[in-house]
Amino acid sequence: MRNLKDVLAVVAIIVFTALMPRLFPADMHNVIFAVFIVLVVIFQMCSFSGRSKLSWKRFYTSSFNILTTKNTLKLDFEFDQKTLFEKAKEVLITNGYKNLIIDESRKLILVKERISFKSWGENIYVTILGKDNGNSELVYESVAFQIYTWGKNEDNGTKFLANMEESFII
Amino acid sequence: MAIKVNVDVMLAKRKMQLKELSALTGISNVNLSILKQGKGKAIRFTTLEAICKALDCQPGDILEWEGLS
Repeated sequence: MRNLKDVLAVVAIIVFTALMPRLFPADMHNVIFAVFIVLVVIFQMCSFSGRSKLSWKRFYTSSFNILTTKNTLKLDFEFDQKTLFEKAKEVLITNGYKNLIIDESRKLILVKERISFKSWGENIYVTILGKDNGNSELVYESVAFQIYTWGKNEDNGTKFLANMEESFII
Repeated sequence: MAIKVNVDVMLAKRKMQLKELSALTGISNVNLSILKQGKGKAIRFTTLEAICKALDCQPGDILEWEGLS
């Protein structure tokens, strides 16, 4: 368990499952289960339609969206926004990411990882924020389309930032 | 940094543009630009070799130590 949120989520699931027969009458169980399934299906359908759109970033990365797992990493660089943006694109391509959706004006890159047998896929948002002193900040946000992850997304983020640092050895 | 990168000086001497150097060496434009600004963390021997070959110069023409001045 990596943080309090994970522990609370697991405890809540166990407690809810244990208490469900007492909380609700038996004929309600199927209804609750059906509502839950419908909500998950609606969410996944929305995910499929909005995953490629940069405008959906706020929805996926919102802390109120409990159906996605978010991971944010930030790192400062002594480079201007434009140079760092080009570098981030280069490193993402070198790392093997193929589906890059780029917004030059917002200095935002979306990487869409496809759904596979192993995972529901993830969206990676890389934003380059300019600072007053001419330097920039790289913000790496990954969104996994599942309630719980086993830490692979965090590892990917750490690896990406390490690769970014290493890419300055030319 | 005490090591100064003189890629821009050599480019001017050879009347070459960064884009041309990039095409000749296979080093991306952004990487050459970082190198030119002297903001790279380190330089690989292979990179140095490629630049020297393209600009027909010695490593000393590209790198300069200005520590004691």
